[in-house]
Amino acid sequence: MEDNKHNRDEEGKIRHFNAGKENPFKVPDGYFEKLPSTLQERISEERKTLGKERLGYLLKPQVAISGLVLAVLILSGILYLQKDTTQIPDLVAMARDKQIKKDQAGLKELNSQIKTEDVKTRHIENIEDDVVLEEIQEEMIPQREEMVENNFPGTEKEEIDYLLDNADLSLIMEELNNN
Amino acid sequence: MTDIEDKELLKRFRDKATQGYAFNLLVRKYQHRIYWHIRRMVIDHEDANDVTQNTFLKVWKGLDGFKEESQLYTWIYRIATNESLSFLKQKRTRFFIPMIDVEQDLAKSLEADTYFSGDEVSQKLQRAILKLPEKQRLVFNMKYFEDLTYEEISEILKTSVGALKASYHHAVKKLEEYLNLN
Repeated sequence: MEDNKHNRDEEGKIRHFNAGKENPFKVPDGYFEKLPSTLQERISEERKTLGKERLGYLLKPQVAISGLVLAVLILSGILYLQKDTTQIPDLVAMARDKQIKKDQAGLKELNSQIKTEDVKTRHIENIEDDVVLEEIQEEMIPQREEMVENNFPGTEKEEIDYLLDNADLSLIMEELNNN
Repeated sequence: MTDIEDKELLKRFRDKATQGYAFNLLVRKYQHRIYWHIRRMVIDHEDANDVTQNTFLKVWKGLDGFKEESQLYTWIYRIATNESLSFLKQKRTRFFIPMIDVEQDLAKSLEADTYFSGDEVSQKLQRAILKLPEKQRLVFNMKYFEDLTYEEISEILKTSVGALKASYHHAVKKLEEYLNLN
């Protein structure tokens, strides 16, 4: 409402100038008929220019150098990765070699153990039964003597008395004869 | 040809197959209003033609990203206004001349313009309008000649309705004074 009043007041002032709203400007004949096609042509040119600008942008020295540096970096990266991938089989081979060496060492140890056992067995095989018995006796008799010495609770005289009182003399004599 | 709805125009423009045709329809729909809006600001037909073409090229480039937060025609109007003001600014800096001289230059081109056929009263009014500060000139043209509402002008110029009313009021007052004196 207030807007309309404001507008009417302003319009009144303008009419006072005695100037209407008629358009004093003119355009060349057929201007508005041609403008849409003129614009279409400009858009096509603009599209071409945009394409060229993009190409020109890529051919700029700074961009070209940056591109070159980037390409070198990418290439280095690829080579580095390739080197890495060739190193993986090496690691595998190394691990395999290590295992083989370990296995070989194990085998050697086993062989040496077998050999030792073999030598021992052969040594045992070569010993005659009599010698073995002799050795056993030699080892056992002092022990028995020691046992007797150590086990009888009393003096030597008491021991002789004990033997004279308790031992079967016929058996002792028989044993002495056998020896 | 019946004017196609803006929504339909946008829909067709976003489809690559109908983009060219949709843009052609858009130019046909808005070329008169946009050209006259620009012409009243830059005065000379050749300049107006250049600015109009640049405006529609910008519309073509930006239409894909147009978010429909405002009306399509107010968006186009805003581009046209900015292009006109940029053109006048360039003209000033190009010739190292202060603002008043540019307006004098425009008044001279008005007299010399073969595409200006207004009578003496029209010429007098146009010369008076050219005396106005740029913003007031813009508001006066949009309100008086182009019949835009304050709300529409507010959306185009991103200025409050109150400020626009004050601007228009000052413009009318100045024109009255100028025309009474001459």
